[in-house]
Amino acid sequence: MTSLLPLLSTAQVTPGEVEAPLGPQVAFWVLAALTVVGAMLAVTRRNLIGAVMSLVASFFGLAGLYLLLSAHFLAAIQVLVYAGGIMVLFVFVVMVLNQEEAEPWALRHVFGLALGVAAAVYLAVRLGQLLWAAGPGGGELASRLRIREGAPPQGYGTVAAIGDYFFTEFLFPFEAVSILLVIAVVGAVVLARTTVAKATTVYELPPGEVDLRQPQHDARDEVLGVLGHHAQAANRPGGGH
Amino acid sequence: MSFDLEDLRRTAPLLLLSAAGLVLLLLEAFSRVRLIGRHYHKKLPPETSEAYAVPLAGSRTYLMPLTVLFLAAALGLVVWLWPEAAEPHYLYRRMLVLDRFGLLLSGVCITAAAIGALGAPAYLREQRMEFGEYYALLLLSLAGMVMLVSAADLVSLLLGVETMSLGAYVLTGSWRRSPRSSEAAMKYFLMGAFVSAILLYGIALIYGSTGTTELAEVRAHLSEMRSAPVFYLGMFFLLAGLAFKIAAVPFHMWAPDVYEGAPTPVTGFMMAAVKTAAFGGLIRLCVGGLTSGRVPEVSTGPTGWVNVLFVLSALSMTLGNLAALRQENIKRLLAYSSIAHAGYLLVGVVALGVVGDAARAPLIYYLLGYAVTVVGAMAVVAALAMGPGQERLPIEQWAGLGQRHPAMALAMTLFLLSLGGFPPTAGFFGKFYLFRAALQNPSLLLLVLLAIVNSLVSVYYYLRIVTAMYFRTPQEEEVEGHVPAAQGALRLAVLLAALLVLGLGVWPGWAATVAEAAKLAG
Amino acid sequence: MLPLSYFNYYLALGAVLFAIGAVGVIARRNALIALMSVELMLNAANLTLVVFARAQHDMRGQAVAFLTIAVAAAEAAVGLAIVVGVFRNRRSTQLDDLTMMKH
Repeated sequence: MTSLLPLLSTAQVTPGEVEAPLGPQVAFWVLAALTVVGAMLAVTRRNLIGAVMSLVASFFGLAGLYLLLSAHFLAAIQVLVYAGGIMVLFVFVVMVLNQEEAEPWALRHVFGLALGVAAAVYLAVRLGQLLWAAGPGGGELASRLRIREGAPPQGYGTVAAIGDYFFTEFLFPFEAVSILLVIAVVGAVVLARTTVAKATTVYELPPGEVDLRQPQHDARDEVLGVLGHHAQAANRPGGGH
Repeated sequence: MSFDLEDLRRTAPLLLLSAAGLVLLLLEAFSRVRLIGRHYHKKLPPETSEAYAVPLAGSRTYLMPLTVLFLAAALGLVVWLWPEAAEPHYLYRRMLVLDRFGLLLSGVCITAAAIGALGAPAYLREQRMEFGEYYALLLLSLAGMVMLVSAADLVSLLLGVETMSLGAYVLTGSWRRSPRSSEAAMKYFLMGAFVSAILLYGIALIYGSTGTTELAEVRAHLSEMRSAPVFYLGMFFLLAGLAFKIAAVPFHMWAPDVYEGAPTPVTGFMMAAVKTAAFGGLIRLCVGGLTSGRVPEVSTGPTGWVNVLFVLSALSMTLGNLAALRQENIKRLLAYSSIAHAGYLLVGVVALGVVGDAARAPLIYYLLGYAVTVVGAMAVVAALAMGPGQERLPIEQWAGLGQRHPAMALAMTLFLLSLGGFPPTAGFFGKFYLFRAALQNPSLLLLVLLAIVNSLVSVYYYLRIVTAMYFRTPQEEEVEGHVPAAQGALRLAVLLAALLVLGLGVWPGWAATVAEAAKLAG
Repeated sequence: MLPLSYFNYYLALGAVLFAIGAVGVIARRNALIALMSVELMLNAANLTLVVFARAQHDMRGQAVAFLTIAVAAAEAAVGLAIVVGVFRNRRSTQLDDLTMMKH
């Protein structure tokens, strides 16, 4: 990654109409294409693993774009945490569930789908236009967006700068995010835990109904065993011994 | 030093709630192993299974009192900080702010959570879903709410919303054996995550246009933003994100399913505390960040937030009420009623933008009254569950409860009257106070009229439940099971909520005074 | 580094990614794909933040982007756990099958 940096950072930015140097220009278009194509594939693929992998490709593209934007540490984290961590979690779940490939778009949703796509295209166009107008070409607007020409200050986007920022300005969010992560970890365990043998238990019941009086499969019931069942029977009128 | 040590003291309730959540997690982890092991090896004969089951079920009974104790302590800290908060203090590099508004709303959330927690074990045990993480998640989610209502920066607002919501998603889905619960969690989560992405994009756009995420700074930059489309788009995205959390139409699609599918105490917690906190965040954003006397068009202009919320308010109360009229399931009915109430509450937020600070106290009062009312109503629904997986949801099953469970029926009647806005309950005075404040500006006359018509319509469906309880005889003989209503803590929860609802209605003065003192920073 | 003339290309790219993600959430019926689309939207927001941060020579946008990654990780963990929970009850990850509470 570092060997790329000198190549990418040769851009000389001068105010006004500039002809961007070829290296970063090519890099931008390649990475942007990778990102968009990856995203499109992720959203349209039938095969879930294929979709996840396309998204990983897209995230690699984004990491490259972060490099172009002088966000070096963020680019590394994007690869390590996003492409390497979060997406692996997805792959893991996809493989555990081992679902058949599903119709990407069900036919009965054609109307909703068309509406959704139309809305999204409209959103993309409007949003794109709006943000486009906000750029340096946008005249008065651009000055509102306080765009600064020229290279960023020394050390911008490095680990040191990020660390400094997180332990001064962003100390509170940095600590607060730990509460969020605790909830996520505990919550994931609460929601997904089960006893090993019960992972394949299916309740064959009429749709919409579940018989909660069945012996419940729970870590405690495993231990309680027959006794817990008796306790329930005793509670029922006419039950008991 | 990157922050003042005083800041730690001034965020004491937040710190206490997070620490308490961790303590409960650890206690739960250690208690389970030991107790199950001990009882397992006893090998009691089946005849004693009842006695056997009790100590096991009771093995973690101390978690609830402990939770309530922690919540009471947090409430104590809120009261302790109250005098100091007369002047706003910015904390942690202006990420949070300590002011009386944030403290009071934290207090409302904590109170609602405490009442809900008191009633929870009876229901959880009945539904065989008692697990200790429940309380830990409750407390951590509450920490997110405290963060949200005292946010002084869009970043802490986002983190507060996320912390609160993640806790709520998990609690919604925590009844793992009920497909309804996991389905509700799925819907809530997917839409919630979608909306957080929109919220984040909104923050990015606001950051791009103003160069900051700090609410006070955003407000300082408003005059440069008066015609910046990027800024307005960011504002709309932020409003959409928070409108989702308060379940305002058209961002309400999740609410009926989630409120129905979630375990009843969780439903109460979400209706009361999550809604209060989200309103707190919305007010912080709108009043703290997007209202400036020098730039009125951002708030009251044609594309200002007042107009947006005006429309959301009118839609929420009308559609919420119309849908509630058709409901046969009590949790769904209260869910739609909660959407309608989001509409009434938005009248207050709109009034904050139009008439200014005069609408703040009525809005806070209304939030307090609504929170204790729904938490009480949900405690009654939980109390009348009829056995594992057998909640008393269809309204016809409420027939004859006036004779069978007179105390619960009376309490439910009180809560329903409060929701409908009858005197002498919190709901009546809240509506009266709020609408009177809104009427200070004639441009809100239409909205207030609509709200009044809606309140009258809503009386029909609230009274339907009351008449079912008192004037209809049950269709079939009810099997007398062990109704959780017999549990002392649950009764205490209902009693507390009922006393608060009555107290707020009969002596509104004290709460109004406190709400009046709860000034917003900035 | 970033030629500022590319500023609006970056922003437009963010908008396009955001829209693709939104289509995915709205139109795809598979919960996992919907979840991935949400991740994509979060990334689009992140890109926008980083671009704005770079344009203003300010670290704040980048710092928020870090927090977003943490938030996204937390959401992914909980979301996948919910998907697994639903799958256990339903043997399906199709959102169309979530019809228990339609009235």
